[in-house]
Amino acid sequence: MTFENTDPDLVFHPLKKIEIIVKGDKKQFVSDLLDRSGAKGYTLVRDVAGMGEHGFHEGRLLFNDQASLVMFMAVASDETIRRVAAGLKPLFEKNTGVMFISDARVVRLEHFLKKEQALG
Amino acid sequence: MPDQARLFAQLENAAATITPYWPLQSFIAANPIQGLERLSFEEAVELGTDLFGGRGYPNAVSVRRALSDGRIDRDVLQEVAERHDRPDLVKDGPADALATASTKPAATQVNRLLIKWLAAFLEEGQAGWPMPGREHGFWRAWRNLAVHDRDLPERAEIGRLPEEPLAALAELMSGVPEAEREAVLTKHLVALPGWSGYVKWRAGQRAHPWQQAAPIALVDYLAVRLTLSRLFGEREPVPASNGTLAPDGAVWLEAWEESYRRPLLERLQRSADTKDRRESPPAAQLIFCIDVRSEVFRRHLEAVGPYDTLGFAGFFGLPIAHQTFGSATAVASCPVLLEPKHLVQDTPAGGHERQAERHLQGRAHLTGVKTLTAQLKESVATPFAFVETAGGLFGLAMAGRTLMPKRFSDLLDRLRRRVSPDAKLAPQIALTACGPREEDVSGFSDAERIFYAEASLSIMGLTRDFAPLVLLCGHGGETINNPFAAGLDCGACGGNHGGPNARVMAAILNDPVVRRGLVERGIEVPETTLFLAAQHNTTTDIVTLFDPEVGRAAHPEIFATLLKDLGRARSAASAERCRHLPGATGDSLSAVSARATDWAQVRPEWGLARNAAFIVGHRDLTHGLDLEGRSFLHSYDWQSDAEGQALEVILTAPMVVAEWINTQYYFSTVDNVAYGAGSKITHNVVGTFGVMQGNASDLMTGLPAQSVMAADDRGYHEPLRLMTVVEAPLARVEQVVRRNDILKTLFGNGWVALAVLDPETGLLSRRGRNGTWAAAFQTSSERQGAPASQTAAAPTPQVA
Repeated sequence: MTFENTDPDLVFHPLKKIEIIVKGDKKQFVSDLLDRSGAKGYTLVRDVAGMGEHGFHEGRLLFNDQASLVMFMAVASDETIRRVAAGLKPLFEKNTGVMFISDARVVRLEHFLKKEQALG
Repeated sequence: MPDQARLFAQLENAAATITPYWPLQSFIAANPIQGLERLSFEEAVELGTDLFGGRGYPNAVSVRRALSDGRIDRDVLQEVAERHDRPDLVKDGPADALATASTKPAATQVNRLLIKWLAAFLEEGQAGWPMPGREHGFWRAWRNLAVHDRDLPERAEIGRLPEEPLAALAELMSGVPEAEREAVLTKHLVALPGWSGYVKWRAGQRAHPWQQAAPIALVDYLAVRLTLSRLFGEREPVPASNGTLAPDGAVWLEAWEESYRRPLLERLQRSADTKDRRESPPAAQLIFCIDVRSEVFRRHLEAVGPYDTLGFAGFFGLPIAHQTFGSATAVASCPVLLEPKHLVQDTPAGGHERQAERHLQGRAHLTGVKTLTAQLKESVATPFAFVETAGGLFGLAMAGRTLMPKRFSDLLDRLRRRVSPDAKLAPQIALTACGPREEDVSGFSDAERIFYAEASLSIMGLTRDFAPLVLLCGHGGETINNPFAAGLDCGACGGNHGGPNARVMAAILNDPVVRRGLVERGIEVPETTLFLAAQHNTTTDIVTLFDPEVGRAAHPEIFATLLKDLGRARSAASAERCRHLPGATGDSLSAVSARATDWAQVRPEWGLARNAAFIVGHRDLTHGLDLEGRSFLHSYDWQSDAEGQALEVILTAPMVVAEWINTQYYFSTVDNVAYGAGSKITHNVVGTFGVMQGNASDLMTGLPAQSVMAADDRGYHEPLRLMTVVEAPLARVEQVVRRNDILKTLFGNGWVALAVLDPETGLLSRRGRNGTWAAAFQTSSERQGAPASQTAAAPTPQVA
């Protein structure tokens, strides 16, 4: 059996998605930045591992949260994601970390847009 | 106007320069120039002089003393000096720095007023009349009140600045070019590194009750500081201090370090060459914290009986917040590198509920009396009448504390027990609901308990040959009238006593569900083996067992002998301790006990002074060696850790904590004003969380002079960087280093030295900062004694 698309109200709203990978000790900065930039929420993945410019990064250190890597994922308006990226650019000049920005589609738009935005 | 998102990040970058300052209640050792660890040690201390005015190297006086008493070996000096192309240093000795004394921040109007307002905003219940409006945050509360501060010129301007702190900071920074913003923010932060460090710490503690009641972040701090700076027309913040770097400091430091390191490595190499694994089964195994003070006690205990001792981070691998019985809040009892992941509450032990109730009632009475006394003392109306009526009692107490400290302390203890008798308690280790919300739970699930049990036993290499009795021994200091009391407690437990963690882990390891789970993971703990929790008092060397009746019932003979031997070890350890403590004369047991209860004692114990090495390996490697209480000892079994996972945990956490401790002792010794806390005699506790010198100084971070100096001009702590020695195959160690940035930074930038004793080849090698390895001893004759030069042939590790 295959499903048919019968929902005429199902709209895919275009937004931007940002993925940010930083060391655990920058977790609070990134969550503050997302909040101040107007992101309504984010997903946090702890203990991510990977290969980068400086070699392989261990994901999980049993007794050290600060040196472990974390990944944030947030979806918001282009304007908000630009503010987040503007705040991350100076950070990455001094610290290890990466960000990826891509197009995303969401169904429930109101879950991703904030009325007032803190940062000017 | 700066873009606020960019400014926010520039502030984050600037803040990396300052080290968070933990409050006195959970005094945590930290490198005062931790923010500069990305640089080589030499570059960092130089920049530290520019930023903080700290000296960074031992001064000429201490180097001369080390030369004259042989702690700097002349032969080693000659070789080190030649390698640095400075043979003249051997003949001429150290040169004096131009200015040898550093001073704390200038009492500028900006500093003075900022400190006044910070002390008022941040105090934690000490003030009789607290600052109003604190719930709105520091910037907003200050903005509302500062317009009434007559010390401020042009104060009407303050109200014209935005109410939101980041917007205000953006406006205050609007005249600063983009490229200079980070540097300007840094200068403002390092002008008072103690206060800004404390704000940095507080801002990260969102669940802290005082942070919720009075929120503050560095953006608030800077908004206020820059406003003051503008009002007073301050062109640039005045640097914190004016120290000068000791000439040739790096050469002298290396000569001093090598004079300590080489003989130690020789002893370890000899021990590795000759060691036989001890075959006779021990009567008991005792697991102590890696703390350098444990080494002394372990050595004496092993000398009096058939005991195996092990070293493990004193939080026993449990990331917990511990809530004592009847307390409203829980305390994080794990290294600050970790966030507590489990709450553990103490509850009345089975059948002791009524006793616990009496304990609680008595405690409520005592708290009531304490609160009433404080109120009578602080209230505007009552102090005179209070002194008239109760002054005599306070006088008597003062006389008692001064003339008979030990007896007075015992008397108080007896009184307290009469009002609030001790209750038999046990930690709640099984997952149990403990509050109205679904997430309010105390304890661990079955799987979590098994996980922590397996992880801890595997990391320390205790996975077979269990003795009938295994003692888990946390530790804590004992001192009174000492704002730095937490500095004597367990660093791995976040500056708390380690006993509660030992109790929780013992309960986990005795749990039948855990035992079954461990069997499935290949760890068979005999049914007859009992884990018991204890706490080692590092001031008096008394080891207190939490559930002695259980131990006595399970293994009466072993238990009785162990108690006797713990007493013998205590006598020997106390005698050793008294040889180093100034003024500790007569009977050593009485001397150490008296120090713990004397309210005028500035040096109850030496804490971790003289720490200089971190040894990771089987106890057989160090058994029988007198390491003089200078080595952190972490147990490790290389044979059961092929992937290096246990080693990775040890190096990325316990060793990092040891490095924090080591650098704090180092910098507090080389410059006690800029990086330490100055003399205890003139300390002024502010807001219950920090100390100042006088009534408006920077917060004094680091250790007080009395913790590192034997006299004003004579150090006790030897300022040497940490050397880590690992007993494991060289390739495995290198692999662990390469996959962890934190290790590449610490070893590569010279903050910690690394040596490896490869049990497969028998070779001892040392790692250069660039990652090359060199044999520590070139030939077998050198392995018997003479040191090799650092350029010996390098075995190449085969790293996959």
